[in-house]
Amino acid sequence: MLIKNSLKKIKKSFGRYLSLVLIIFIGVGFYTGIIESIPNIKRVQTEFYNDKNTMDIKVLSTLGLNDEDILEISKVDDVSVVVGSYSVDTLVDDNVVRVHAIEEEINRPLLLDGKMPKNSDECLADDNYYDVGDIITIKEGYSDDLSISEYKVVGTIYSPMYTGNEYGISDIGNGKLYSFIYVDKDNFLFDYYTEAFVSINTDDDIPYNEDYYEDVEDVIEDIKLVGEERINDRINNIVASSFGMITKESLSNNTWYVMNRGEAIASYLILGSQYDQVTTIANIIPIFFIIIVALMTSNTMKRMITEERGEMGTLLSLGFSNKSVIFTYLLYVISATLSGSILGYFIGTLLLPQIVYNCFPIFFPDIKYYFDFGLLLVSVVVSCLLMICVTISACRKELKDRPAYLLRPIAPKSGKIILLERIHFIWSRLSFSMKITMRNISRYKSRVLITLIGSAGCCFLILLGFALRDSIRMVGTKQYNDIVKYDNLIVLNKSVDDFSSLKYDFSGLVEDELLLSQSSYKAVNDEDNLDLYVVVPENEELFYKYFLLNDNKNGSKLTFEDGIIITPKIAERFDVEVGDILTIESSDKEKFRIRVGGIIENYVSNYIYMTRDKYLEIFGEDVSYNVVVSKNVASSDEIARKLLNTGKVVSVSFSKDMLKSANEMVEGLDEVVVVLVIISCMLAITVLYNLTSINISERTREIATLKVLGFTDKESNSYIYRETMITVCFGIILGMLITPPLHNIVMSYLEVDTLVFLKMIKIESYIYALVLTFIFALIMQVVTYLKIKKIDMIESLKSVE
Amino acid sequence: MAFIEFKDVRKEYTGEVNVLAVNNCSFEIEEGEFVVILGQSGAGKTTILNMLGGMDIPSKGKIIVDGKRVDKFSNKELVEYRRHDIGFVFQFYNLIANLTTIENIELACQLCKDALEPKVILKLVGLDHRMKNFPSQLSGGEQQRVAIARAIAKNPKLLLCDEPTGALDSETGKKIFDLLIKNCKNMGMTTVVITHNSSISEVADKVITIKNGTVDNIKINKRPKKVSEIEW
Repeated sequence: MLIKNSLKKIKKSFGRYLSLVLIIFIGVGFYTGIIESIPNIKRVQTEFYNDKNTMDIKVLSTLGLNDEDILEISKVDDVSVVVGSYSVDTLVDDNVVRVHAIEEEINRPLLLDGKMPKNSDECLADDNYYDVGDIITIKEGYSDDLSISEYKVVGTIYSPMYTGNEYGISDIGNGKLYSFIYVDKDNFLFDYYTEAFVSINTDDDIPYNEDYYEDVEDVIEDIKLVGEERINDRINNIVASSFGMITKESLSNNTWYVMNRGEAIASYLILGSQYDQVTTIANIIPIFFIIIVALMTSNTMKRMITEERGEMGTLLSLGFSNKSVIFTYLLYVISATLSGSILGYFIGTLLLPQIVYNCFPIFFPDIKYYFDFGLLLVSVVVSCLLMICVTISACRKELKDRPAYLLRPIAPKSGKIILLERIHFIWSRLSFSMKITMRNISRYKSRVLITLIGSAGCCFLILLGFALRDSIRMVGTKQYNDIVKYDNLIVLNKSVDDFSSLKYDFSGLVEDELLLSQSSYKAVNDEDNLDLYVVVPENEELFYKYFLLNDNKNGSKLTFEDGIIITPKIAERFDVEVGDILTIESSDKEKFRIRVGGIIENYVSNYIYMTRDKYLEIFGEDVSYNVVVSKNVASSDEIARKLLNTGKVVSVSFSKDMLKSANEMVEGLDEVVVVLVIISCMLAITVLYNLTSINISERTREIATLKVLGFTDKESNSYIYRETMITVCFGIILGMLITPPLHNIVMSYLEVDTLVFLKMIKIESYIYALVLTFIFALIMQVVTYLKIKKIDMIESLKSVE
Repeated sequence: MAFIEFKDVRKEYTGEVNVLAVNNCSFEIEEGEFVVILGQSGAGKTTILNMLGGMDIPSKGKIIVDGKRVDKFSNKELVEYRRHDIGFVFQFYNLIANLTTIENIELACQLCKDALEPKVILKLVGLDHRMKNFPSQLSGGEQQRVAIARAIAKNPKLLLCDEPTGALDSETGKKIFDLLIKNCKNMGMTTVVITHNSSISEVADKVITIKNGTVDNIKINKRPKKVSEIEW
């Protein structure tokens, strides 16, 4: 009987029931979906790495590696597999393509299409750029280390060595690695291994896991020790076998490079920071969601119970116990919560990880659905408990009254003269209907407050999404369009004192060259440290031309007259202002004290800029220049190719490429934010619908009276909706006011050491949020209108309910 | 032709259960008459009044008010009809709780061009001193008088009252009837009142008795009694 009653309730107010289910659905769906996204992608990555036995450590040697080196590495504790392997950078149509050796034991590629090569002139190629059947021809002069220079693509692959579309740099061609292929190991003609891949014994082979990282570091330290010994042995051998032609000193700068995944796998670290950022968003944003969802659902139940007090009274007077009356409501609410949260969990965890996965340009196998029973249980139990508590407390409040009292309608709050009426000047100018609206707003404060909070919250979530987008997107543009004015940055092989030795090589390729000394330091205090570069220009005039030195706060132009100039993240992290002292530490742990002369606007990396004289004064030595920045004269490909060919240049990077890769870095996050905006909009619609539908059902009688009096449907609608619209307008304003501070907080969690996000929200974003929330409110007006049209005057006025 | 003509009106409610609420119902009402519709619960009185007031339409038959075919009205015309021609008074007042007495009346006055001055009407029902009070601060009788004032203020051609005294004690009920009759006579406002209390019917010009959804008897009082003369 009581179950029947519950079912009737659901049927009677199906719209409201549905909106309750939907709000819970969106809340739980978003929460579980976004929480599961990154772990799910990481799971795919872990599985992929394990499946393909992805290397943990890569070893390079300037002398190359021989079998004895490999044997010594294999003796290191916790090393499970060592494989000596080959790779060589070649040119294919002027693009740099890295040729790897196919290994059985380690770094196995994932075959996406085609088959494994059988013949030595067949290869596996990067799925990103090649198809099965393509012929790859290596440019003449670049295939000396390979027995074959033309390969037929028989299979396309993902390689565990390349996680994202930033492949890294090369020292040939235009300096950028374009793609890769894998060929039979026997094709390589080296008489030494170019690299060795090491797999270690660890229980925590999870990417970006701290414990895993420590395990790897331990082994790396050991291998480095082995490396020192091996280099010594090799040098002694070479010196001995050269019969004194080669001296030990000339070989002293030979060494092993031992790298972890972060250093060896392309885009690995970028992906890691993207994981962190999405995780941060996943941890913060749902909090706002949950607050709004909890508020809205409890409001729905409270008001439904108040509205139905008459029925509760009837049931009680018929002899039903309090418990059984509460039970009918519990049934209503639990059925809504259960269906909403279970549906939310499954759809959320099914869709969101997939969407987030698609947002990132990553080369992993497809994401698999992962059923996390614990999370399902927690989200269902928590949401049910919450709803049960709300319902019981609302019921108890009503049930405290005697049944007889419940049967009477709730004594309407006696109307009050509102404050505005006392301000005669304004009040007398309001139209009659505006007066009514004002009176209603002030009378139903709690109702208005909920609408206010609901619409403010929705507007806030939408605006926050757009704001995050602004902050993230603008970084690259600001840095590489506005702040940095040079076209290219060239890192020299050897430091120089002036430009004369480079003049010949650079002429015709670039112009207005500025020499810079750029060296790595750390800003330090007792508990914190931050990587930064100390930069000293050779020519101040050119420096001002290439670097925008705008004061961080007021935008005024700064010069070296102001003293030493630092970038804002350093100032913020170490709480220093102009005139304060900052301590920096060199790689040999030597500490230097610097007085800050100015703080400039800057978004990528951290810098300290100073003159040569200041450098001399602080570090007690003269500078030598290791970087050149300049304007392009030739095409960027030509510049890179020719400069790399001189052997005097380590790398050439172009500002337009930096801009592109900065934008690519945030692309995934950017798309996640779009998802956030869409879901916020969905929540906004359901919340507004819920509020509207409650409003109408509470005021049916009032509306019916108006209709009998001869109000047209339109007039009744505006009578009811005018106050909602005014409230929503205030809600939008409130939402916009609370967004900037909360946005700052979210951004401060998102920030990484090398990036400063803009705390700025574009005017457009405000407009988008405003228009969207407003459109939703207008849609709801249509809904109200249709509902009002349906209200049956006769039925609604029959008796006191 | 009479001011109001109800001819062979039939009203069926179809749905899960079909109900024949009114059948073969005919009567006439002259302009300025004070008419009581008498009958027991469920006889179909309210249905008749609703159709007369443009809140419901008949399934069959003609309803002519002031020469217009109300039964043929579109929804839009019905709204206009309710707005300009009809004043409605309910058993449970249905005042807007958030509006003061005077504002409740103003709300209705807003709708029609030739509405009466709210303050004058409020004085007429004897509540001018309660102008700034809210419905919850008034007694039941006072609330009903506000409801009547609200209906009258629109200056309708036809005032319809559905059990206006149903929730009131007899003394208060008498006062309400006194008010309605005075208004009917002074303003010439045709008034139709539903009641199940037969003793009240003696004050009316015409008494229409409804039984099982049809007109059982129409009685014309040549000399209607005064309210003070009747025993409740």
